[in-house]
Amino acid sequence: MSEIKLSFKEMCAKFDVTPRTLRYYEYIELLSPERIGRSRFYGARDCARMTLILRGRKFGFQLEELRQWLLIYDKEGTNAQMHVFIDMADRKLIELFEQQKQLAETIKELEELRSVTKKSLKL
Amino acid sequence: MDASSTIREMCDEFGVTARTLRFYEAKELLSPIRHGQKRLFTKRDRARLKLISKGKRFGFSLEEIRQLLNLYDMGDQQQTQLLRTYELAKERLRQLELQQFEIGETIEELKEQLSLGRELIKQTNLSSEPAE
Repeated sequence: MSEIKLSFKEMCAKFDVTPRTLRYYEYIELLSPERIGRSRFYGARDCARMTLILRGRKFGFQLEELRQWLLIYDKEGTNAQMHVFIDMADRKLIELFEQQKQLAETIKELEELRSVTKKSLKL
Repeated sequence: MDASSTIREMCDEFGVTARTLRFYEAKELLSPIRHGQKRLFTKRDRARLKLISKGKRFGFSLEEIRQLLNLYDMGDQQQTQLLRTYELAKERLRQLELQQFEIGETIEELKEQLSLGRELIKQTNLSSEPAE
């Protein structure tokens, strides 16, 4: 029963995050390392959660959203968690498409501004 | 007599809050005439506010907008102002195109995760089929 645990420093290095991030994630109960005195040790569970958290962040999910999503695994298992992920991801996709659309509009307006100013400057 | 507007009139006309107008004043984007606590916005302020809204829509920072507005009074038929606007537009376009590209990538990755997830659910559903 001797799981290999990572130190605080090792954990930072493994996931390429700052100490501040790691402490913050613990503070908002995303991670729960074993505390021995002032040292922290991270097991497989924390590593797995960290992988999921960072992936979720990349997709633009909120930390609180991810925290609740991770809770589902503990309470209802993988399948339920996957179902919720699919819902979350579907909603996020719609959001991203909308962002894309708005960006495209702004880009078009900026292109116009660029060409108008260019013309006036006789560049 | 320059047709000046009160803060309330400005808010109604441009759909901004009084707080925003005061903030723009603090940032020296607008310079209404002050009579004690009262402010009177001039024609110049109104023209500037229009340009500020435009600039914000393009994603220019307030400081960039402020500098741009101040180039109007250079006495060079706005040549410097035009040039700076052109440069800012180019710069901002590059940023937005990069953003657009990154969103596209995130969408692709998300779609991939989605189909993986759906596949996984299908498989677990199959394997947990009641064996009667």
